[in-house]
Amino acid sequence: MTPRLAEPYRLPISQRAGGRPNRVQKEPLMRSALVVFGAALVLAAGCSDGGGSGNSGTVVNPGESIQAAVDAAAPGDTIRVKPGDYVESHDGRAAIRITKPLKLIAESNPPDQRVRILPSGSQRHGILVEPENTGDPDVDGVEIVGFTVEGFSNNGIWLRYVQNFNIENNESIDNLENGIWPTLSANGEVKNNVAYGSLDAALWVEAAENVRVIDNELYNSPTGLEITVSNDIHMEGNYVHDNVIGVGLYHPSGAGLPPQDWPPSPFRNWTLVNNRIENNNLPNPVTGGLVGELPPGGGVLVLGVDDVDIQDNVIENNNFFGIALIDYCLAVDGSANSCQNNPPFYADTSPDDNRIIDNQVTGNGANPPDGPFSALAGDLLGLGGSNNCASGNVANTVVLSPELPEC
Amino acid sequence: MHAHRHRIGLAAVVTLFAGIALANPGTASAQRESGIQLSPQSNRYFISKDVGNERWAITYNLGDKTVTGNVFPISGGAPTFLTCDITRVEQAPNPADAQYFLSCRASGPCAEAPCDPNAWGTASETGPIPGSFLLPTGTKATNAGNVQPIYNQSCATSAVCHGNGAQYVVLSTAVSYENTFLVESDGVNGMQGPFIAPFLPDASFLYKKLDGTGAGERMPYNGSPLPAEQIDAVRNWILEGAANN
Repeated sequence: MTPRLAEPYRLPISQRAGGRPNRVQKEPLMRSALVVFGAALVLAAGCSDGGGSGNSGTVVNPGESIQAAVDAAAPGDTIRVKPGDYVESHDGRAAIRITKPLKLIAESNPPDQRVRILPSGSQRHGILVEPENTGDPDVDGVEIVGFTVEGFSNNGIWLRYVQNFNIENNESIDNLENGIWPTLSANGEVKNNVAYGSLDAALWVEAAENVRVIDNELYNSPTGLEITVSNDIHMEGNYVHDNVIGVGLYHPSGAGLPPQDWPPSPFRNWTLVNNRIENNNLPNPVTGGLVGELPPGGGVLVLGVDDVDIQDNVIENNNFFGIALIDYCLAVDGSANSCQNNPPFYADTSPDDNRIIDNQVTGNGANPPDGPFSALAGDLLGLGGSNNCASGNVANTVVLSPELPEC
Repeated sequence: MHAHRHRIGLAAVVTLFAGIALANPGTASAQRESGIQLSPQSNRYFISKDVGNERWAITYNLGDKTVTGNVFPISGGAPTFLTCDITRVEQAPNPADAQYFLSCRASGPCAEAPCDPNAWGTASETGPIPGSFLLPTGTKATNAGNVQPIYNQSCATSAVCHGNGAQYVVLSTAVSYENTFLVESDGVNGMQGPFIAPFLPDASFLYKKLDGTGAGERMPYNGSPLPAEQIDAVRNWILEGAANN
């Protein structure tokens, strides 16, 4: 049931080749600036409602059940939720499970007015969107706007098998697996969200196609923004800071999903444009597994993947590296996760055909963690791969083997 | 007094196992009530079968992958003892069709202690022995032939989930059995009990995670559910004792 795009999305070149980033002037923790909630934004948010003429009149007030409103809604309806804390009393997997096209809109304005979804009983996920039953058609047309999802043992906002989605102006706080996780889904936007305090990724796009990740603030997690086994992913204007690794573009071996659920190509057309990625020096809070192996201090880690455009980003003050292109097997060599112990299903582990253009990569590598690559710390590190190129970057310490030609 | 010892050479061992293929054990079993039994600990198969004019009373030891026992003429006479290492198995979807290759040594009886270690002949490679000879009739699934391939394809694919070095239960080939057989799940996702309870799939954490009836997320996590025939394979394997076969 992996979604297929009728027409792959690709950002026009004119938009990708912009000047120096303006939006990366954000101050740390500008949540209020990033997350401006309200009905006006709700109305402005562009996304298919997937259901045509839905009811826009359902309102949920504190003390009432959002899940009950979702269950009662018809496909295409809009549900508006008034500020307050919401604890659903059922023992389902998720506090709110959506299985139909729907707009779920929180009338919030943090930090003063939040619509908080909090866990209860056996609930492990905050908001889960997926088809009702295994094998059902994808859920087509979902909008989730303005919620604060906090304290779940697994995921904050999790989408599986969803087409045409908009996840906007939400907060994911201390959800212990992933903050926001669109997976096995296509044709969507994740915009203006804030996610922090996860033990895997603050925002992870996995096995997805045609997803735009725009203007999010992602921090305090092992990986701030993670992409694996996906096609046509555009990341722009995000502020990624204070993670172990800021942006992790990982080989399929870094994904938990079995190969039979991958899209046609494990990586194709990922664009990382005009983001600010800084101070990703968080000591790794995880022990064991691949996540636990992540070394702190990484800005952008291109780990054995191909066809990535990294352009016009500001990548500063990450203590290990600014941008690293590295062969997956080389990176995990000698660890319990080595390719000898876990032979990769996708045998190509070298980073190829990647383009690094016009980035400001400075002040990185000042205090690398101990390890086999610590002597190579710096702004730009490349080990392995072929047909990669770099041009127009501002970087002081560069270690490239092989050398990268001009793009 | 010098003890009389049999010396059985390579040719004799090969002949012994060749007899398995040439004879019709099924017919012999039917006539002489031969059979196979699994030990209550699910760690040995006791095999008693007639092959031609011989009775084979051997044990397939699942822990160390050896086959040991004795062969003796039904009409009388001294037994021949066997000790074999299983060196290779060519798996097949139907466990009866799997092909086992062994390295065997044979000896006659030791008449008096101390036994002479040189009484054992040189090891000889032999096979294939069909799974139908070593496994109970009707065996539907084995660990190595039917269950581990599922782990390898859908669970132990990387260190993120259940590959070597993973945070969670490692299900790679070398360790999956010891990590699951009678190992308590320690209340993971609220479910008490062992990952695998032999003969009891519905009490086995692993099976319930695969069929979606257990606590927590159905496995493979976030992925498509396993095909029904794979889930059935796991169920059948547990029903048949969850042996390390």
